[in-house]
Amino acid sequence: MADSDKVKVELKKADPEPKKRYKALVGINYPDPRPGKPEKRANAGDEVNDLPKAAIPGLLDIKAIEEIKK
Amino acid sequence: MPFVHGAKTRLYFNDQHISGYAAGFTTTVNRNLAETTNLLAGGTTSIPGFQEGGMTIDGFMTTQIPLGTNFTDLLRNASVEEHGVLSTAIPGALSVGYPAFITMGDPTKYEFESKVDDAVSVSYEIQGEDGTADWGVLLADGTAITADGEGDSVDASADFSPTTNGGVASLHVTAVGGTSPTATVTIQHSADDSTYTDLVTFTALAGDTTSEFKKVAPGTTVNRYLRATFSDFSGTGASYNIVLAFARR
Repeated sequence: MADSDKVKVELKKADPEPKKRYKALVGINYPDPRPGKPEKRANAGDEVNDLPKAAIPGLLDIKAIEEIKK
Repeated sequence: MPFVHGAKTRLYFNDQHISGYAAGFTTTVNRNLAETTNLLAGGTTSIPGFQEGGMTIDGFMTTQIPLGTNFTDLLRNASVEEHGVLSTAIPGALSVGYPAFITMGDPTKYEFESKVDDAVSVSYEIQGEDGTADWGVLLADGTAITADGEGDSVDASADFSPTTNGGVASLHVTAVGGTSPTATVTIQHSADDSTYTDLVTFTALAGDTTSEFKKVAPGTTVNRYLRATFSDFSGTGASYNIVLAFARR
């Protein structure tokens, strides 16, 4: 097959769902997903989008964070 | 669980470690019952009434040297303070996770006893604020803290947590080292021992020994795991000997 006959197929990944952003209402220490890294820290008032998914419901329950609505 | 011997008890009083002058302590909490016995009751009946609690410290009188570390001086000075005195008693051992009894309150009595064949002794009573003395856990064991970091976590177990009625915290800073030292002490709590949120933040430490009592408001959730966090260290060779305890209510 000649080069001119080749069809270029690009597989495009679907856009990932944008991560929700949260405002810390109190100071929070949470694990860095990168192995061997020290804990991350969000002070009250900081905006974060990398909190551990499993911790978010509990943090919302005790009003340690609130979701930032666009 | 092992039993504990009284000889391993350690006592802290405001910004002092007083185990070298004290022989022991007693913590008491009483609930008064208001009698409602009536003709139809068929026996004695009552309803819960007021609660009272506090701590008694037993110790020994010493001479006046060195001033400021004399147990009886501490008691005399504390007896005129307006805002009460803070005592934390740790039976068992100075070990994170061990029981700690916290009493913030007002001195109500001290008593000296001198006998011909005995050391002069002193007994000192503190009436606890809120009509109680609190039974909690030790979060920092008095060793010198020299850098930012976290203490070991203490697990209250799923059977007894989370609790939802706040709590009280006691901080005793008994020694400070370094030049222009500063630091911040925080108690954090966690549901999973991984992500921790601030629960109690104490007044920033500086160059002096100190103590502080903090309340977490009734109705506040306190999650299963607790730990001490030390941050904002600055100064040259900063070092703090810190005893920290928290009691759930």
